[in-house]
Amino acid sequence: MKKRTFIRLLAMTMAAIMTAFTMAGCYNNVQDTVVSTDYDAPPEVNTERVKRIAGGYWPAPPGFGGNLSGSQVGDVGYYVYESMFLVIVGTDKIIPRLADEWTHEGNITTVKLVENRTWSDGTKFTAKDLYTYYMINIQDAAINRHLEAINVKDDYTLEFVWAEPVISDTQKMLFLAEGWQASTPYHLFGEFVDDVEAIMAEAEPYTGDRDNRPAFGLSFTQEQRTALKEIYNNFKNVDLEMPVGTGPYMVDKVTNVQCDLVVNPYFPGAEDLEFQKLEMHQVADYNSLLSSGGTDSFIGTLPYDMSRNILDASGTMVMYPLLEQKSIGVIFNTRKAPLSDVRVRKALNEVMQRSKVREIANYWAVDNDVATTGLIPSTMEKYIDADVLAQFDRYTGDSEKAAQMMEEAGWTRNSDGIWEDADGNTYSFVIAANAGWGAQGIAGATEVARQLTEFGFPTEARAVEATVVVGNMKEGLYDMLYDYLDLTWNISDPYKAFSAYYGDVTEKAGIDLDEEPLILKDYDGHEINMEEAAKSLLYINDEEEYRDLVGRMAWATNDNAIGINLYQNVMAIWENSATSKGLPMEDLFEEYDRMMPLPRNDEEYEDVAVLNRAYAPFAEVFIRNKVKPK
Amino acid sequence: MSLKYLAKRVGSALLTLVAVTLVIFLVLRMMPGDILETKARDEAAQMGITYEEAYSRVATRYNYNPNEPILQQLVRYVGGLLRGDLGTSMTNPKLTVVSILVTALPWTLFVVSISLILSFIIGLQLGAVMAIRKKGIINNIITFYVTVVSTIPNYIVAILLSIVLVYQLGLFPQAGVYSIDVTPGFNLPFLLSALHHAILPIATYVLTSTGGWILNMKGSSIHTLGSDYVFAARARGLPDSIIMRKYMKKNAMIPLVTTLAMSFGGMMGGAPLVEGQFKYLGMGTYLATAQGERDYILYQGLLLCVSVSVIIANLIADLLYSKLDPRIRLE
Amino acid sequence: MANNIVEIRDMTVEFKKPRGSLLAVNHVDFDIREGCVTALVGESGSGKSTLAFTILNIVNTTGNILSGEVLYDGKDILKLGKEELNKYKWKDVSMIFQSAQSALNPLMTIQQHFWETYHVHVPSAKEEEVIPRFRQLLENVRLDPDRVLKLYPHELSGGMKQRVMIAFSMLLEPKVIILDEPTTALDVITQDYIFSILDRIHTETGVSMMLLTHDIGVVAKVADRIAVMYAGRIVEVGDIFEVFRSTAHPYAHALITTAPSLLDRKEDKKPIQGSPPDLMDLPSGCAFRPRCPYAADRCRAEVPPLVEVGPDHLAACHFVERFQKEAGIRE
Repeated sequence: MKKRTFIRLLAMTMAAIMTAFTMAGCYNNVQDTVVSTDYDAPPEVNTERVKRIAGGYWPAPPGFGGNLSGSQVGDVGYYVYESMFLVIVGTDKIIPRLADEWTHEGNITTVKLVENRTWSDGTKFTAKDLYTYYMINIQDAAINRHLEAINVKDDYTLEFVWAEPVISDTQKMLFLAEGWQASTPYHLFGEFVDDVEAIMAEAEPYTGDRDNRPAFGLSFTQEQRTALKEIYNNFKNVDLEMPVGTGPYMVDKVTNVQCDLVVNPYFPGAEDLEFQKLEMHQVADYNSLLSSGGTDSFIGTLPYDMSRNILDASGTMVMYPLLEQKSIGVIFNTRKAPLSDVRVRKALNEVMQRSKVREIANYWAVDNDVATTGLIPSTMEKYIDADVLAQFDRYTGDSEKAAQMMEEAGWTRNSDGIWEDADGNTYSFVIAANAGWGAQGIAGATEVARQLTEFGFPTEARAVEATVVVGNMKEGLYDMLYDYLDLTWNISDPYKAFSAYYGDVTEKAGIDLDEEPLILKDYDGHEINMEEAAKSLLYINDEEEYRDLVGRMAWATNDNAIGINLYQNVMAIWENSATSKGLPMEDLFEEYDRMMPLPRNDEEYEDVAVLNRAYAPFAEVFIRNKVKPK
Repeated sequence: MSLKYLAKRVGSALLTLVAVTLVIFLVLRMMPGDILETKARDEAAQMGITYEEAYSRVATRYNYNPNEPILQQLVRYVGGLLRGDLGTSMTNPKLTVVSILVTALPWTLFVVSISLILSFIIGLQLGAVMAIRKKGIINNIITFYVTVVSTIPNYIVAILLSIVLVYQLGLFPQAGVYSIDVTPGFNLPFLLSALHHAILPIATYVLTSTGGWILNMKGSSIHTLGSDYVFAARARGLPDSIIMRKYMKKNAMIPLVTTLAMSFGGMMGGAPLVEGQFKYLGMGTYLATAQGERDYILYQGLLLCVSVSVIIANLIADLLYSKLDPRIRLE
Repeated sequence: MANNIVEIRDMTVEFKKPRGSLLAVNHVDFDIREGCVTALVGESGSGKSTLAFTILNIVNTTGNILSGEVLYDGKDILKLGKEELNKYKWKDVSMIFQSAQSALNPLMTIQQHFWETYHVHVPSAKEEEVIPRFRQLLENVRLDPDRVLKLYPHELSGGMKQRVMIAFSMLLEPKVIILDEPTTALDVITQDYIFSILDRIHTETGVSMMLLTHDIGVVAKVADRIAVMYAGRIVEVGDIFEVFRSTAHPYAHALITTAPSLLDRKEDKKPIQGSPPDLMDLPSGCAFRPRCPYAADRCRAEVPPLVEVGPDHLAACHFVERFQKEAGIRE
């Protein structure tokens, strides 16, 4: 075409592009969206029985493969593998998978496995496959430290021989439920088992204290440990093309942004699975994806207005909030004055208006009124008796009361409103937040800083890079850290909670347990060596005795107040009502306009929790067949 | 251009490369931070194991021994380089750096070259037009466009494009370099799919960078238009078309061609934010990932590749310049 | 009497500057007589170049022709359409620019220049057929065509470039050649050489020439007619002998007498007092009045018209007789 016409066309295109940009920007603010929220509209029919799952990570090809420990599988593994048991996070409910029956007799637990499983490459599943997992992970699998031996009695029977003193039955089950045990089949990784067994045969028995007991009670020399590491190294370098699992699904095709999983034909009842195909999608903009109803399932928390927008724009997405096993709060650097004084720490606990921080940092979270107990707040009622709970210090965010507490500790407010101690010193604080948390971290920390400043301790909030912030806190660089506080990662059992707390959290608070044991008093005035008590929980079989000790420990921890528990995290699970039916609380969709409340009872909780693959792995939700394609 | 000149240039290029490698190597190892901690937390949550157990696993998995003396690491690395082995990613032992380069580089090359050429050509034409017309509605539109759109960061344009064209209108694929349903290879569905996936990243680059080229060309053209030989050419009765082409454009273009060659080298690093928006697996994505994961080996390998391309681009720029402008002769 | 081959009538050219506007050419009538060398003399900024440019209608882009016509062969070339104008340029009238101007495209060889212009005017021509013609033109200016045709402009010396331009101006055998200070930037020896070439061309081909210069010595040697410009107006014009012998305008007289010669004594030399006029702020009446020793009140009130003061001799001064008497030109 003629030059002049071409130029004109270009200029018009530019004008059009600018107009389009402007309109696109305005479009997202338009209140009356196009999609109707009328539930009587005929739904799309999901005839192909596909579930589109957004989010998740797996390495891009050619990095993708079948070696889970070689970082080749990523989140795809949630649907491909199985274990003896899976634990529903939040309720600690143990659901058997590969385990069929199990008995505890003395120090032996015998587990009978199901006999109908086949690996996705056609090999039959046997007990030796699980044994392989424990052998390869000999130094890392926590259960091994409490075992004498694992015996493969026959193709479908495993015998776990516990070391003396034997841990409680509850703890046994929790250990047996740890890890993705059926991810290293013997026919692919068996050579490593032989190597490990050879080294084990030459190791001397361990004679030290039970706290540091190594795997299977075997004392490895330096060379043996190096050799074991070498074996593990070789193991993780094994190159498998595709993941091989016993789970209901297997990988069909994979690119860097999409992974297609089809039903594993060897899985018993494969044809009866409601969803025959899973499509995992990675995109950059989940907000837009959800708004257009372009996916069926997504795990992720978004701010309130964004969430509301998505629900309105899509017309069919449903959002379920769910409590996480993590709480977020402020950890004090107890080495430095004045935070070394527990009275000051308690006063700061009192003045903090947690709901304000929660509103800013994570709208959905549930705020608390305790200092820090070591237990996840929502599990406190489960593990502690009511009369003990009643004795806990509760904090209401009353600044008058907090001021009073400060004065009782010998502080006075000077003319500027800043607190001075008995010697006339004033203090200002630096609270660090993990920069990688984005808005949640910085906004929350800033609000905490603001409140403390208003109270009379000028505080500055600082965002610090993710990889250095915790290290710095442990070295004492900051006065406070805005971080995870009372948490476990999955199982909420108090033993797990306290052993993580008296270790990781105390280290951040500047308490060196190796230097000097931490002795706190409980509500009766008894002294408790916290670290020892935490370890002892492992062995208490009597439930009442367990609960009693847990209550005392929690109370003492709360009394010590090395932090402020601001809120317990809540995450959101998104589902698409256009393509799935049988979703939890379906009758409440209209009432809540698809922004659902927290589950009201255990049954609802479980229905919602299984939707999150991290809370119920191994494709548990698909096996239940409760949610079906429309 | 003599062999001696070429040898000199290649020699200095190699020296630069060596210096760059050394600097990258040392600087990376000085970066603070414990990446393992973050990874261990994720691992613990995912696998249902304790934090310590996760940490131990992650540490072993990470192909890096922090206790090895730096000099030894350097020697080992350079030895590998000379053999053509750029090492293996620290996070995923299945991935050699070379395999990542082979995966990522072609896509970045594909998108970058098309984007650059398109914006260069469009920029040249429009810049020339603006210089000649000086006034008029078309000039105003272009100026407005350049001012507004070119100042918008490219990742915002990427987001806008994806919101409108991908999610609301569904015209383009959400992510990736090609659809999962095609098999890579020299077949039509694959090529079409690759093109379909590349259009939005290319559009992002072109939309944001054309403005710069337009202004560049406009300035250069105005400068050229004012020169005596253009005036003399008009006195000779040469028609506007010839003057525009051979007197103005050709002369005005010369400084831009060198900019083009250099841009090419620089863009080999991809633009992580744009690639990220479309999950377009190019150099930028890998660079960003490697940096976030403190994967030194991978990062080094990628940077080396980018450095090489920049150096080559510079060399080509010089050669081009001397070819285009007879006043410049290489010694 | 010979014909006028080019006639400029009532030409006014305005230049708009940030400070205001000025008239570089102010209601000027000018003729180029066929077969003659007409010199146009004046200081820098007097408007000579602008006037010359109007003949080819290439007045600078900042200039506006407010009134006037340029008649060639009975037609007003200012009214010609683009294509006709382009045909007229170089074929009927060609121009040699100041040697300081680089009138050649740095990216093209001399041969490419020649061929391009030739081809535009004679589309049916074939390059091989006209190359002998190019060679002849270069030989006419004493250049070696084997060497020069292949060279780029920056490879030629100033004098060589000017000779190339002379050859170039003859390419299409024009009727008129305009020479804009062709030797100003050259040394006297080369200057002499160039003029000898020009003289030969004029004698051999009878081409009409318009010579712009501020060097009276050159005028005396080569011109048949002379016109003197001051502040945008012609103040004296006519046959060269007439004007030299009975100079009628004080400014022209001053110019002619200030030309130095080896026999002059320094003490006798007087520069023209005062400074060149600011064209934006011209004095009322005669523009030369502030510097004129013979000025009177009438000079302030009225702009002197160009009137006949002798055979083929016009001047613009109110007091010609008084001036000539007082200057000793006439009793």
